Amino acid sequence: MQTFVVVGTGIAGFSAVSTLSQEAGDARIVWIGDEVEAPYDRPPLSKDFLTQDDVALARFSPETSPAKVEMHLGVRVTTIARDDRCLTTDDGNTIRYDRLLLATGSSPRPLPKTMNNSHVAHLRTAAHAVDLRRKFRSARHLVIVGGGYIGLEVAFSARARGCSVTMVEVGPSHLGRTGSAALGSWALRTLESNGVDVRLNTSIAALSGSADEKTTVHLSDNEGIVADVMLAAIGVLPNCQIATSAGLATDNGIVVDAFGRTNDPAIFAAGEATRYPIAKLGGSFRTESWNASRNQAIVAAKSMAGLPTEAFDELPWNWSDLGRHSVQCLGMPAMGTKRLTIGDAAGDEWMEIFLDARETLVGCVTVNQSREMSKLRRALVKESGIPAGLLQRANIRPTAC
Amino acid sequence: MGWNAVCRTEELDEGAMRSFELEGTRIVLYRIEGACYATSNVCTHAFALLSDGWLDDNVIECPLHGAQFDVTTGRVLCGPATVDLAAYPVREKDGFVEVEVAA
Repeated sequence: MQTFVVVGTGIAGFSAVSTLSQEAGDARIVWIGDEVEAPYDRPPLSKDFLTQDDVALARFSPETSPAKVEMHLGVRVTTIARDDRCLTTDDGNTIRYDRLLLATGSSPRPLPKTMNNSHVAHLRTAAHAVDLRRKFRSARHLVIVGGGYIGLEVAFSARARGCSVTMVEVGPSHLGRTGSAALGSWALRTLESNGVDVRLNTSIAALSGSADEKTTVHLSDNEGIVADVMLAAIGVLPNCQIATSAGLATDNGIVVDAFGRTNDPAIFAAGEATRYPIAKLGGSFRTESWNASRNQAIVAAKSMAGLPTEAFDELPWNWSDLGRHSVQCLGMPAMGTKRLTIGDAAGDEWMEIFLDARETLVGCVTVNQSREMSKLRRALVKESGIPAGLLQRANIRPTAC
Repeated sequence: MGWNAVCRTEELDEGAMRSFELEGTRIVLYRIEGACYATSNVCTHAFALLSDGWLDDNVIECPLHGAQFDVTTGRVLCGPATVDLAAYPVREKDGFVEVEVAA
């Protein structure tokens, strides 16, 4: 009997284990994760889980994780001996594998070590979310550093709990890396109309803690803000240390092909920890997308089990729920050289389509236009191009980005 | 409760959806290849109305997080949802579309 080992209990790991348990016959499946919690879905952690004390963790459905899966939770992989096809864990086990899949995910990027980090909160795991929710019960003022999706979602959740919020972003706009200039402007307007104190082009100079768990956040403009909670949401770093130590190719992510194969034929990888080719965008990318992680892991698990599968070649797609607003982003808007705007970007219902020099769609942003995003995503799957009705509604000429 | 007339047959076009509430239950009607179907209008993943989503052939996609369901059976085709939608019996009678919702 073959042994398939999957490391990581996030959406990529879960998706791989589900695929293997449904499709890989009578193989032995070993699932290892460094969190103690039974596997759960992360997206609600910054949303409903934070705003409502009675919301439980969204456990992955047990029907798709049958008893034949051997779980090792709260266990960290320490080494991979590729020649012997076995790995060791920090609880003293040695586990032999025929095929290994690394779905090790990401960790929050830490603030510089020179800062006093003693009371800084992060949000990635259930443990982080439980801690943050507990703090929110008594917190009056929250300072968030970082203007990405996690920072924005927590800002809206905190406002929903009546907590005042200061958001500090080093760049000139929010969602600058994955979104668009118009989305950044929309986010600024929407945050401010929700009472969030937004500081752009501002960084943290120093932090000083006190015995009552309050943190004074010293900004680059010399202002000091006293926070009951200080959240650092300045992005994530891929967890590829064990891959690097094992001599697998890494480059800001574990390097895989479109089938999830690493440079070791017995080792596969999927999810946020990987850098993978997206042919539609003509390059390799590390993406942070629930949907991409799930679907890439299905392809990797099938390749791992020797089952037929098509290459993974989807544009990454993200959603974010910000208060009553649904924001979605497809592909890489920043790669666009032309932009089509549909609707009024000064309002709350609009979308942008980004084309490159070949007139190929490379990105799309929607604000409360989710149906249009669905149509577009399905048109791309069917390779029928951008829906004509959509282009007709873009009754302005494309503008250069 | 039995059968409830909810709209005239000509009010539900091919490939279209219509949403309504019946005794506190949110329901959405679909017409695909001439036949009518009805399911719960609320996604089983997070609160969102499927009638705000996109219907393509027999597949409805939730507008919020992209869960997909087969509207002819209510079955989940694609996560993040893991629970099927309730599907309700539908018939066309005397020029009306009727839906049966259990008491």
